[in-house]
Amino acid sequence: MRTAEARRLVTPEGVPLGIRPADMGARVGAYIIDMLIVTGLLIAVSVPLIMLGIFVPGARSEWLVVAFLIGNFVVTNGYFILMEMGPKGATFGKRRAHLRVVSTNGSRLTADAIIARNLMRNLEFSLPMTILGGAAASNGLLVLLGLLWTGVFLAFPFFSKDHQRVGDLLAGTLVVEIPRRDLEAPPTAIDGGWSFTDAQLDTYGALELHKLDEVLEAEQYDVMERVADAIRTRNGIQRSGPPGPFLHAYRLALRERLQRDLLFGRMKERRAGSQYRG
Amino acid sequence: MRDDAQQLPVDGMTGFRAAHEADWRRLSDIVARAEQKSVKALADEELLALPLLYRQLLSSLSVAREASLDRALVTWLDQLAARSFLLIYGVRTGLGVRLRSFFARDLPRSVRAIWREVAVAALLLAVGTACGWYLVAQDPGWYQKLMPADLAGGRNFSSSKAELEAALGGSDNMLMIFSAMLFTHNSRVAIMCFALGFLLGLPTIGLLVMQGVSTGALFALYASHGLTLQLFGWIMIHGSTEILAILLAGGAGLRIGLAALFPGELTRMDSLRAAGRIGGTAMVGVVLMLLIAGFIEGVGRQTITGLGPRLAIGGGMLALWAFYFLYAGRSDADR
Repeated sequence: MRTAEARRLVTPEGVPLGIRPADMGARVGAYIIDMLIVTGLLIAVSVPLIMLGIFVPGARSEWLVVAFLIGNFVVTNGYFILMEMGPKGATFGKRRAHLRVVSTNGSRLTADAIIARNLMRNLEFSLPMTILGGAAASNGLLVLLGLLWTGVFLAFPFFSKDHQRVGDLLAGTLVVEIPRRDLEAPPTAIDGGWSFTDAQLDTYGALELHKLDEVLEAEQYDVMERVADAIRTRNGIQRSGPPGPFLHAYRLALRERLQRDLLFGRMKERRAGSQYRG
Repeated sequence: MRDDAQQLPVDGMTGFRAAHEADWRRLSDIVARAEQKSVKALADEELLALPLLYRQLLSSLSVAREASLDRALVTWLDQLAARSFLLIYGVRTGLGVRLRSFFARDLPRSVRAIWREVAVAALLLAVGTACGWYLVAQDPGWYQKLMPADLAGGRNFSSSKAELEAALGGSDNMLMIFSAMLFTHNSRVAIMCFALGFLLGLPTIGLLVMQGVSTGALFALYASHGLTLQLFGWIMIHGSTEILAILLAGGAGLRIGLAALFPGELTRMDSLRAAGRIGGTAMVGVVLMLLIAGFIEGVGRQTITGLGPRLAIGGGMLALWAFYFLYAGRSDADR
């Protein structure tokens, strides 16, 4: 399974937003949480019905079955539709995984699209199951067809562009991941008393700076150590202390240097002699 | 070595951030509260400020993308922009409003949009019925082959006229029939007709013809005992609704098949999507019609056993559906 690439969703104001389609792990996790909630709701609906059947002598069991079937439909579909129409655009499961439903073309998400993508879920998962239940006793071929049908629909989001379900595709929607971030206050000083010469900073460009950002974000000690060593060797900086503070200090100094050049109109994309294309 | 004063991180963008950060934070706060509770939790001045702050943020984001090398800042702005975009361009219509316009406008309009396909579906069903009737009338041996056992309900050419008549009468386990109906043959046929439409509509055609054939076979059986009209009444009381629902589902399925075969000027995917939207809308109507038909079958058919009332109810329902689908939502006034 591949990870979908960042997709540029253009707002009506013409600004592309860097929104990433959610990966399948998060989707499946969210769906499991939602199914647990829906099952809980269904139990909450059926307990009074069962009570009614047991303790009220005149109650017709057929009515209760009908009420349950209708309740089942309303709960399973209503939960998803109402939650996704709300301001968060997500069910409880999706909220936990920081997922949201958005429209593919950046325009307003409509109630129709939400209803369509959720009703299609019935066709994708639930309907084949019902048919299977009904046909299991009688017809082997139908069971096979039902399994094939469900299999195709279940596998679809794993292989489709941006991990869209068939329902997403028809409704023109997309499930994206919007991780929560906090903006830290800008650093007021380079700690650890590091200082670098221009020559020591001029070796790298913006590409290396962003690689360094990634390394610092991942916070893996051995990677940081290797990167710190590489930078020190290349620029003839004396090796001392742990890699963390050094890298933070170097990043800050490098960013400042590149930033200043950038504001004067000189964007340094990458280090001299880099094999990467910008 | 440079002196310490130069080493202070006076990032070239510090001024930019200082100038705008208060606005960004305010927007972030408003968005977080609107997400947490609802848009109604916001004060009036916050609502008025929201679009302005949002546009400012978008412009800040564009500037930061071009001019800032602070990745943490750019990703934060990006994420905040996405959240505010989704809040501002989120779903506006409430469920109630949407439901009303669905029944007043969308449903009858999509049914009218697929009338050609529905007509073809009706033709296919009629051809199937004629074939079934003709084959069984020629040679009763066909009956066993054409009629699925679970639909025949023990009725065959060895049954007496009295037995056949009794099968058309009432019984008192009406709700059982209704709840069973929710999963029965006909609703399955209707949904399969639609769902299998995208296999170029071929399964839909087959299903419609087969449905017709078994109906025709049943008619031939009853006709051999002179009970044609009684069977017609027995089927029509709910069948006018149910068969219409199957035809609409078949029409929707055929539309999807045609959209895949002949996308015209659209791309195949867009063409399928448009057909899916029209067909899907019609299918919601189909499911509701099947529920109503199940109710009539479960309650009405078991208690009303006279031929006249059965035909009257069946005809009445047909007239009602025809009026609704042909005339509702013609004007834009009921938006």
